[in-house]
Amino acid sequence: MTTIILVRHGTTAWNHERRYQGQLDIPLDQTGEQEAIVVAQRLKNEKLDAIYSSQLSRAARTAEIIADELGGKLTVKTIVGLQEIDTGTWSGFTPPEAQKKFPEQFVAFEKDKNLPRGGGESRDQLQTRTVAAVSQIAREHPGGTVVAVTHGAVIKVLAGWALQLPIQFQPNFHGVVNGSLTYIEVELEPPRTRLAAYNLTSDGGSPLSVEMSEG
Amino acid sequence: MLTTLILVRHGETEWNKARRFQGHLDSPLTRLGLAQAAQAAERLLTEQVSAVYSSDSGRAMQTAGAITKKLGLEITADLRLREMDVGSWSGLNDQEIKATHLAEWEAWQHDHAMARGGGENQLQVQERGVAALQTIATAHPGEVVVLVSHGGTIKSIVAWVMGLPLDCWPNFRGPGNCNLSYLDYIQATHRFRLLNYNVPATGVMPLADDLFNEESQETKG
Repeated sequence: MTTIILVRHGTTAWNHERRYQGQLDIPLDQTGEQEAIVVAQRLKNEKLDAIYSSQLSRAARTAEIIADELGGKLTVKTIVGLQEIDTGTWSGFTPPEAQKKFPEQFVAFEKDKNLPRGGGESRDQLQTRTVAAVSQIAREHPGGTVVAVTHGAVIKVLAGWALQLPIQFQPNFHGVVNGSLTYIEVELEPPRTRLAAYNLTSDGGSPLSVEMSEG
Repeated sequence: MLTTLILVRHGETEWNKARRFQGHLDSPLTRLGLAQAAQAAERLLTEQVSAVYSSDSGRAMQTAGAITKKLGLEITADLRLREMDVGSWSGLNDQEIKATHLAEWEAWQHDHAMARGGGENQLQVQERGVAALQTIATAHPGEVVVLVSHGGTIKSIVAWVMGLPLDCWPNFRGPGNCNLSYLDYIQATHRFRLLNYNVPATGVMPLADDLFNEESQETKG
């Protein structure tokens, strides 16, 4: 069994503005850098075997800060398979802007959240690619505990995969907050997964006051 | 309008420690269990809680008592929040059950959904637990409400919120003693969502290994 601690990257300017980031590369802001330090403090007592990250800078920088704060013994390995869902032409827009620009797509997506947005990826496609990434991690760390710094939509589909939740029920998960921790357990042979904890805020504080946004 | 519902599992009990099934029987909180209840109360101080409901089993009432004392609220007991009834298995540990209920024990290894000891099955627990959840959620629009309950019951409620098929319930690791799970309820659409699952009351992140206490206790109340 491998315990994978999925960490959502720290806050970016576009998270504040509630813009779809998708695979655009938006850096952490100052709040995000602080959140990464707090995540590292929460991870101090874990016996971590590795730190992985999406290659997008908001995740990679979060992972670097965590690695530094933990003493620099672990170097961050980036995996493209952990990057955020592709939101295609919607990327860079806020939900009201996207609704204006792509009204038909927007309405269709509200009805079926598995549809790809702006010619990007569906949740099914996202799940297939990210499950391949975490399976690779599990293969390399049997019995280990690893951190994977990644993105909001990715964490939701991986939590759903850990439960074997039908994809149409994904929206029953509220989004995860920036700098949160989600614990999944992965056994490859025989295949078995569990969701151990979802969306633990890194400072242990209330999750209620925090605004959610995807990406 | 949003209602926030915080599901809290009771603190560690003597029988949790001795790995005995509790069901509708009861055993008192241990010292650790009392400390966990105090930590949960401390954390809930920051949440603007307006009401506290609890299973009427002693261990839940004891935990809810620590919370209401801190928050200056009254407990409303709701027996639909009780643990799964495990009938004649109640009070026994694994060895004692194997000695007295061997065939049933073996059947249960392959079918975790079955009723044990003449008690309830998982869907029956879910039905009453969800009924309690819905009553409470609709009674408190715009408020934050605490429900003190049990491992099996909390899991069944969260599984319902997610729409998780029965055979997938074991894919939720059982909630640790006094850990918190947050749901929200949108009055207009009658929809629940899962915000957080299995948050340690201390706010301090313990090791992955022992984050959630004894996992085998999850079905034991």
